[in-house]
Amino acid sequence: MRISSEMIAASIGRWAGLMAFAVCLSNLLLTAESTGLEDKTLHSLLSISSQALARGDYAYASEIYDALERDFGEDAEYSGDNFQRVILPIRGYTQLMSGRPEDAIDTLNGFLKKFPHPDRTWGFTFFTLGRAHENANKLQGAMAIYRQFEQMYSGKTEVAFAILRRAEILFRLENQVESIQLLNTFYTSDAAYTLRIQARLRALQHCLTIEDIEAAKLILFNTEWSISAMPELAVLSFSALYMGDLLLAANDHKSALRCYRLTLPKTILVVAQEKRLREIREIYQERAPLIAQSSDHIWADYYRQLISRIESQLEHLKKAEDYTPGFYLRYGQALLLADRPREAWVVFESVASEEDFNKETRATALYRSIVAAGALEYWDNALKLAHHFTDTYPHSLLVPQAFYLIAEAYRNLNDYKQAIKILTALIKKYPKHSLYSRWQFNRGFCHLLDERFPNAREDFNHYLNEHPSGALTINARFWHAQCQFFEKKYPLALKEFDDLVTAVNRHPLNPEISYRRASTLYAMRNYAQALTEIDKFLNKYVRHQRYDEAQVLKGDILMGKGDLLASKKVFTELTPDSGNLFLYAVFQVGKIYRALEDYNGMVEHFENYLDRNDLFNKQRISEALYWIGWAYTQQNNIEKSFHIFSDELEDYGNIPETNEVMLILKALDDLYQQYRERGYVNQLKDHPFITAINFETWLLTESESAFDTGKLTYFSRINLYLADRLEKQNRREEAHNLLMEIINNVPLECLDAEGLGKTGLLMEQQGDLSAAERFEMLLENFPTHPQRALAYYGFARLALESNEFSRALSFIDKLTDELPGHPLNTESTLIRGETLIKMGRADEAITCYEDLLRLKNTRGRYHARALQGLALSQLALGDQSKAVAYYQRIYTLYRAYPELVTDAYMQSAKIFEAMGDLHTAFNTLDEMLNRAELNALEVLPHAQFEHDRLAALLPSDKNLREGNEILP
Amino acid sequence: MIPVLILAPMLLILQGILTAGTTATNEVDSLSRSFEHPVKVINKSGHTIYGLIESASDTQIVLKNDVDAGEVTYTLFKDDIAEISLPGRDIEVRAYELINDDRQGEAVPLLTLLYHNRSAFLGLLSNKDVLIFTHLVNAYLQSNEYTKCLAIAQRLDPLVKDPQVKKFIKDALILCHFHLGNYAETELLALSWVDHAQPFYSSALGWWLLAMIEFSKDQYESALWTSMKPIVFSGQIPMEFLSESYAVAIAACIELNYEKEAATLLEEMHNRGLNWPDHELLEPYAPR
Repeated sequence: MRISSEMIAASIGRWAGLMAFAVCLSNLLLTAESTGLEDKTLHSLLSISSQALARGDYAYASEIYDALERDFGEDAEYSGDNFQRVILPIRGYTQLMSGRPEDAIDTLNGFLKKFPHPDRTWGFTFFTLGRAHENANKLQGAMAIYRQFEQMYSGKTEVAFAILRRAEILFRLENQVESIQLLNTFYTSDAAYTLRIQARLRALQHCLTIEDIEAAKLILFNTEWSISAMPELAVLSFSALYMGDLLLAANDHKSALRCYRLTLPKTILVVAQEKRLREIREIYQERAPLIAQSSDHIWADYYRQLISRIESQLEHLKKAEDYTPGFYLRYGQALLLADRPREAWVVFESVASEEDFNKETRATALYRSIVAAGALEYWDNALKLAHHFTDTYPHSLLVPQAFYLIAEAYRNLNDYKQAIKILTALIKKYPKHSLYSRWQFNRGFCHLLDERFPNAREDFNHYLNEHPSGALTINARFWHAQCQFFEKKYPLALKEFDDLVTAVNRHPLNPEISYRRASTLYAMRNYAQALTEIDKFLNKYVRHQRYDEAQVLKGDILMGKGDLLASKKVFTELTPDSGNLFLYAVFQVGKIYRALEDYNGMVEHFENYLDRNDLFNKQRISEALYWIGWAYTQQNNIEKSFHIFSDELEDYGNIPETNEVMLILKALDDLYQQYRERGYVNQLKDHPFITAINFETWLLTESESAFDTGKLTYFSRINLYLADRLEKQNRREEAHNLLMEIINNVPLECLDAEGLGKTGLLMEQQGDLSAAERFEMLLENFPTHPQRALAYYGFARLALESNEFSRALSFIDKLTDELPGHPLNTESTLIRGETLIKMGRADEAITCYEDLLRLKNTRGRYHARALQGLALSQLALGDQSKAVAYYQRIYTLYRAYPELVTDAYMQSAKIFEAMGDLHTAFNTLDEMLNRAELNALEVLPHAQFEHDRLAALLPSDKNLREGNEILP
Repeated sequence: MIPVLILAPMLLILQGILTAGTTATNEVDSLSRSFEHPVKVINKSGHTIYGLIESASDTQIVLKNDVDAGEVTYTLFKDDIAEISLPGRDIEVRAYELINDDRQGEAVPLLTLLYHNRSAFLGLLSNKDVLIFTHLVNAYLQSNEYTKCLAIAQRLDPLVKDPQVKKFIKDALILCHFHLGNYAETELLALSWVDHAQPFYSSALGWWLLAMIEFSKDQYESALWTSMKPIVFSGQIPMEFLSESYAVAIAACIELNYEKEAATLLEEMHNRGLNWPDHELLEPYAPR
């Protein structure tokens, strides 16, 4: 059978697509498979070419068409129009596809010259010619062809391809802006989504190539990227990832996040891209017959190229190293920097636990999760994660940083000592680390927070000496000055602040320095200068966070200056927006009224405060009521005072958090006296308070009633007040019983600060270690209450008893530092001495006792106990004579304290005996036993025993016994 | 309204299944007569047995056949059956026609009829024969008929082999338990769901349900963390129950006074084109 050109033409008429053409030919010429081209017939060569085309072997197909031209060029059938109309476009196409664009141009131009009137194959031929020009680098020519194509086929969907090609040429001609513009305009056209999104993606790539990030952002964020419809997912994913990285580096974290959200991790991307490829292939398969019928195969060509491109992308993607771990780390970092630490934590945690990721990535992720936990202020978690990090990756380069984060976590958990310990280790172990200076500064800061000001100053000084131009130099100088202030070395602090003011210009700490300077001047009672400085601050830094605080300071300065009315004016300018400062101001104004003895003003002021309805959480109500009652008392308006106090006890007496109940009981105690003394007869006369025989009876009745009605907080408070009253009357046993009633009947959560502290101390005295529970609760529930001193004191005693001397000292330090005016300070000084002796630091104990002896307000028992401490210190130092001298001072000067006197006698006797002076020892005990005021003491039998024992050791002669010399 | 589950590609989406009217009663009546036809069973020895169903279970079927001499009863065990051909094929065909014709609502009575006639011995059916009832599960799910849905889904769960259909049935089960207030069961299933899920998963169902249970117990901090997981890993690939996860996270933030976090999430939810879900528990937190 011989193939005719008519048959070819007819088949091409049905199957205008190249593939269809190839298939058609191969169907007709099934037996013509051959590898050599010589001696082949026209139809056998056509058959071979169709098979080559079918498998995409364009070079071979092209070679065949050359052979056809060479061998059959003169053949009438071959050179006939019908044959040429079909063969030339295909030959041109195969030349183009096999890398011979110049030949393709010749062939296709030949076709157009031969067949100048457009027909069904003309469009494809013309478009191929454009592409051939492109590949031959004849870009202007290609542009002209595409433009002509667009005009000729205006309204046809294939025009889109010409536009896309034109955009490519514009980009190659370095006319990027116009190229991007063309693509973006095309995106808004009515073309198919697949083509529009391809154009958009190309525009995005172009923007990234020319580094026009803003334009890239506009495209990326203003496009409907449909994963189910767009073909090249990998291109979008990588473009978004690349852009995310650029934006992250440029600190545009929010935009970076949006980019990362468009990035898919590798495994997911491969699956999604494979799925899309399958779908595109299916579409192509489905459309192939339609394309063929449409007599134009530009679409088919588009699909073939698209499929080939995606296949290549997929292959590269699969072979390439997994970018996912790095992507996740950067995504987490962007979240962290965009102030979204919770989400960052989730990402880092997930990466850290992903076993498929390498160790370094997982270590970095774990490290960053510590940072995220810290940013969320979940310090317990941060601490655990940091420990987990150092345990899991002990050789990681991030270990020092992780330890630093641990120190930071401890600092934020207020465990400054642990933080200092870690920072010290870091400073010692990594002296060359880039964070070394920061560790030094932070350790100073931790010392400062731990109120170890000399240590803090030392660290700040080290920092300043070693890093004079360090980033934290001003901060170190500022905090150094602050340490001086906290140590009450005000002139030094002032000088340092003054130096800072001179040295620093336009530093963020400038306002702070100005404020602290004013504060220091105020502490130095230099009110005039303090006022000038604070006014400067208030005028200059109106929006500063310390503005309200500065206003309060100004009020205090004016108060100090004695300008009460001006001070009142300043305080009243504060509004509830200032929070606790407003509350402070309210009570400062109260104090001013008190100082001015303006009791009406005071009542009005506090009543106004109580009437306010613009306060979210009205505080210190009971205190305000107390002052109203107190003001009425000053005005002798006993009835009103009584009613206010009485109502207040009713309303607030049973609430552990209120502070004024003891004050009110004291005020009522006084009112009762006044009432009795003045004998008022008024409407109060039938009140149980008045009808009670005395105030103590009323208190007992109140206590009983509170107990019966389950008001256990109030019950404990009445008992505490009464116990205190009885103590003063030397009715110690009754007082003790009242406290025991509290211990036995009131649950801890019902006790206020004083209740917890006093019952805790009683239990501690009785050797009950569970007292610690009460102290802990006191510190936890009432961390700023002045009665926390009881907990510090109690803890110190418990620590001393269990030989935890450092712990004991730390609690005493806290008491002394935080509550210098608390009555327990004297007791704690004595404990400090005792602790120091036990620690082998008797010389320091001596200083401590001598300091106490210098205080006039501690005369009496405390002085006697200080002498006792001094005697013990001397004994510890081995100086028995000095010890005896101190004991002698006790039994000579402090006869009012028999238990101390007997102890002094007994100890003296013991020392004398140890020194071998049995006579003096005996006489000492003898003297003691002869003192009538000591007769009732329990120690006497023991003293008598010792006395008798010594008597037995001495010669029988009375003189000898008495130590008199017997002359020879 | 409950969120619509996207069925596996092999299942047709039954949009508006209950609103599209019902199959004419006479059509159902007429089709139901086909159940009067005998069952045909070919056993593994190649013998063909006809008979009406006397009794049936997942493991055996008893067929009764009237013969001249009286009545013959055949007991056939699952392992012996090579092929079973059930009456009601025309109902199946009609139901699929309706579904393909987007008239899912009309398919429901037919599917129900089919289910009632076959539910006792689903274990004897081929995978293909079982698959048709997943349309019924979806229909009940969409119409909030959770008890019915649960009953069928539980029955299908052990029988379905295809992983995508299996996932659909599992999701339906867990959602039914949740909407029926079986929180303990929901939690158990959700935990297992989450264990098998991957970041960038196409659904947030397990996390969302766990977060909702935590939220309902006033465990707001936990609810927030749980709901964050799918949010953080959601990206380009559409994720079911993502807006629900955002909503519970935002509600938890509001309860915890994390105003800034709530605002950030709400803004992002809006930017991502996600709408506030219609759920009673989350309604008070919806932006006004």
